[in-house]
Amino acid sequence: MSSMEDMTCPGEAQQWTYYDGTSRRIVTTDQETLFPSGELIVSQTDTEGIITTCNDAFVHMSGFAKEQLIGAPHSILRHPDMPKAAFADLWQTVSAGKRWSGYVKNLRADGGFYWVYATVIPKIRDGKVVGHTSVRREPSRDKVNELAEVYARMVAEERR
Amino acid sequence: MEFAISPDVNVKNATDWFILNTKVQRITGLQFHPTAYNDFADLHAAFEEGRADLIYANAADTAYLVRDKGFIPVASAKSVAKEAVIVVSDKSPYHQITDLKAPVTAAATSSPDIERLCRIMLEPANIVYGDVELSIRPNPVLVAKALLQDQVQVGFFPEEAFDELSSMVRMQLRELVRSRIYVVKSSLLVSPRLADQVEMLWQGLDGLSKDPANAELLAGLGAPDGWERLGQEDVEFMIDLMDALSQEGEAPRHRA
Ligand SMILES: Cc1cc2nc3c(=O)[nH]c(=O)nc-3n(C[C@H](O)[C@H](O)[C@H](O)COP(=O)(O)O)c2cc1C
Repeated sequence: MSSMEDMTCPGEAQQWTYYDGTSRRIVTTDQETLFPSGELIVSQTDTEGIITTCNDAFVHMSGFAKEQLIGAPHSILRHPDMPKAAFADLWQTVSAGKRWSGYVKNLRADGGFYWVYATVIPKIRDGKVVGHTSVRREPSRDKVNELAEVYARMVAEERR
Repeated sequence: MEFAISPDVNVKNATDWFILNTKVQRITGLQFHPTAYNDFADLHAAFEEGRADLIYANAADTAYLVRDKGFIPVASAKSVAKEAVIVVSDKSPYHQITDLKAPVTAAATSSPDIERLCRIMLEPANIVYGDVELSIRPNPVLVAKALLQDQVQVGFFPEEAFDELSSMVRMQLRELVRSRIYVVKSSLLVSPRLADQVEMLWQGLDGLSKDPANAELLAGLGAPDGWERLGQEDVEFMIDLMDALSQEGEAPRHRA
């Protein structure tokens, strides 16, 4: 998939395998981009998590071009510091037609990262779930620090 | 037919809404009786009793009317979105949102959309729903006064109401954060009884926007660039977005 090509920016590289078995080279740095106060990052996906729409704040914060994002799986933003269990919980919740909220560390196109507080809700049209909408807002720093520790422990546990 | 005018649409221009009512009658050839509500409880009672066929509704009411009552979106003000500002007195020790600590006292005018936007802009300071003690004031000038008299720590304003305060007042206030969300709007909706009139109504409204003679009227209605067509999916998206921004502990929306 062209939108999930290897990352070639400077930083620490690793080969990353996604839930669906696809793999790409990703690069991470410890450069954080802070959430712009007063804005929201919004995207919609189909039922499989493929991005169908996103707003300008999404493009700006992720560092990807809009053309790279539309049609790409949402895991294009997956940061290796996020535990698998968090996304398993997200998918289990939204597949049941319920809302999911949580703190997420996202990967930028340049290898940096940004934290968000995300709410994913099912997109119900004419009584059917046709996709999902995710709205991210500025997270509290206390919560980010707390979750960074929790996630680090979970990731260490998952890798054992 | 009944034209219900919501308390949080530009109330100072009630006459402009009555003029619009006349224009809508001309467009549709139907009789409309306009009512300007001062109170959401009365407006919500009108929804329940079927006394609203045409309404310019805030996002919270739009969610209810479209999802639960089958109302149909017609139009919204072109390139105008609702944005909110959180403000403190310039003597206040708070210079950024994260200087605030729970619990906080706040004053606002009665506008559920602005309240929701402001509440989420307090979250970076770890301030959650139950941490805000909110008091409602009749107009933005009195919200400003509550700040200047140190009755509350923060004020919630619709962006245009804050920008329209006199410079004397604004000089004594300090803006902490302003939303840039672009999606939240009031929507002109019709009840299912008017389903057959939607296209005609839209064409007529679009015609109004194109006639320079209506410029002042449109500005008074908060639609200086005229109207744009609001489709079903546009409104569904806005409803989902506002729904995603609701906070834990929030009382289920009051439905009269
Ligand atoms: C609407 C929606 C938004 C999502 N947003 C993100 C996101 O911002 N970052 C992220 O890493 N995963 C997000 N996901 C989850 C991804 O689909 C995916 O499960 C996750 O990145 C883990 O990838 P993996 O399961 O392939 O390992 C989102 C899913 C949905 C349905």
